[in-house]
Amino acid sequence: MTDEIPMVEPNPPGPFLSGPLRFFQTLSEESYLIGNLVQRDIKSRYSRSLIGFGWTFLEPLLLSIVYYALFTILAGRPDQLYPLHVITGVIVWGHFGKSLQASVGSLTKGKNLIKQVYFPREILAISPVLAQFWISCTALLAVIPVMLYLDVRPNAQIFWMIPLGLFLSTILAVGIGMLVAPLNAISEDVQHLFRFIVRAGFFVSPVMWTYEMAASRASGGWLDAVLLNPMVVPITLVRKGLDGSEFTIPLEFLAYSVIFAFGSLFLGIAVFKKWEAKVVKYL
Amino acid sequence: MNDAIKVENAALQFPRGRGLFGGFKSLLGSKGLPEKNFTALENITLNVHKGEVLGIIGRNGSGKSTLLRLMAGIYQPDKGSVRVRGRTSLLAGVRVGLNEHLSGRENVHLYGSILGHKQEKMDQMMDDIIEFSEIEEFFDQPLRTYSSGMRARLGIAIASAVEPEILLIDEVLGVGDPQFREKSKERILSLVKSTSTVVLVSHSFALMREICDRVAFIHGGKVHYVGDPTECIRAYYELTGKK
Repeated sequence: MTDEIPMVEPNPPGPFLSGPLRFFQTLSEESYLIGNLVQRDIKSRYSRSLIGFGWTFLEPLLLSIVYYALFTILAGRPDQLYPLHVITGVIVWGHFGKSLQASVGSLTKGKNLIKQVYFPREILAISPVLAQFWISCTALLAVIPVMLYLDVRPNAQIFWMIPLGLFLSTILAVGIGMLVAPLNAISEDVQHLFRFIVRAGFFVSPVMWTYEMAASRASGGWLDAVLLNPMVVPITLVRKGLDGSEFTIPLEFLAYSVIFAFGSLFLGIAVFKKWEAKVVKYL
Repeated sequence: MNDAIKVENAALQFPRGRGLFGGFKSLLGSKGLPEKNFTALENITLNVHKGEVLGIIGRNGSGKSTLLRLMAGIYQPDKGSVRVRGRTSLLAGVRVGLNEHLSGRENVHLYGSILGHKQEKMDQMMDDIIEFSEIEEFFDQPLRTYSSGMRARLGIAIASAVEPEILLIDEVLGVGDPQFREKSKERILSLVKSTSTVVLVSHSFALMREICDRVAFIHGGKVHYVGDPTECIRAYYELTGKK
């Protein structure tokens, strides 16, 4: 006797390289669930505070004031556009760091849900990052008063540099996060290690400094080493998009950053899809 | 035989340690030291026929819930295979999908989508859920203003508004006040009747005798007996002793 519905394994494992394909299929099929989870993350973030969503603007503004003061004390009079550069750096790095930590901890944070109902778990790694993306885009509006004060006029490159910079930092965070999220389910040491990496990365990435500052002090091999950090290009892209100045990073490093970001996204999804079902029992 | 669920020689071990290195090795396929693992299911072979209500009984920690989660696709067996025909839906711990900061209505959408429903379906079921949960004017308030009984009622109302092909139930009865408990039992029973295939984990043997076609007794990660409910419950007491 044949049946209309075939007998299948629930949540079947697939070949390694098919992971990314199934991932994008899931994203489009489960848009209702993803939308609800993103809404939950955004609404619950500030719901217990009076200032509420205002913190999105206040946090980068206040941080930038502190870094500006610190920089002035340590290094003397900075460049006139420095306040704009530092707030941009704070927002883009904050976006990357929070997105990365959210996707690294996605399986452990969602363990109660994972153990009670089956749904594609990559959604847990994606939805907090989408929520963070929305919050970071809003936070980026905090640069407007700084730009008005400094009388900075952006030009046409704002339309491609800002989206590209934000996009690259987002897929880089998702990729690395999904790559290690299964390991973090086995042992939360991974999460603590990544918290350290985000803190240390703050100093080796152009948040308090800019690419031009590095280029004026270092050259040759040292400057290449600085550019190996895949976050230099995204942050610099957003800065150039805002102040309209020329993008002076060599194009091969732009290509390197793009390939690095897409490569880690692809690898991260493939590894996550390969292992997520096996690590549920560690949760 | 026309089976809805086929579990063949399924084994599942839970790791005791949290070692990153050992865990990583086992992901890569190494067996690991057996004494470092806890065996939850040793060798389970169990078929659930299409259209039957199968009960699962056993002592606490015998692996009943783990087996149910294996059927739902939450865990992957270490050995053997689990195959299902059609969409499964697991009713267990009905409050985990709810969020404090969202209103009752938003929670219906959130929890409903977690359970795998589409938006049109949830819009369609909204009135039914509002009526069943008896939350009334609180429905558009954030969940943090709810009493724990109200949360449980909302959870049950959403979770039981499903029409899966295979229904897996893990002890979800027994929340809220006596009136609501009675009402949710009725709801689950009517769900059991309208769903073709049901697997039910419960400690309520009276309920088992009443609604199950067959009962399986799980002990120490193995199936000890499958068959007639009364016989199975007798086998349970024979092995585990009275009290």
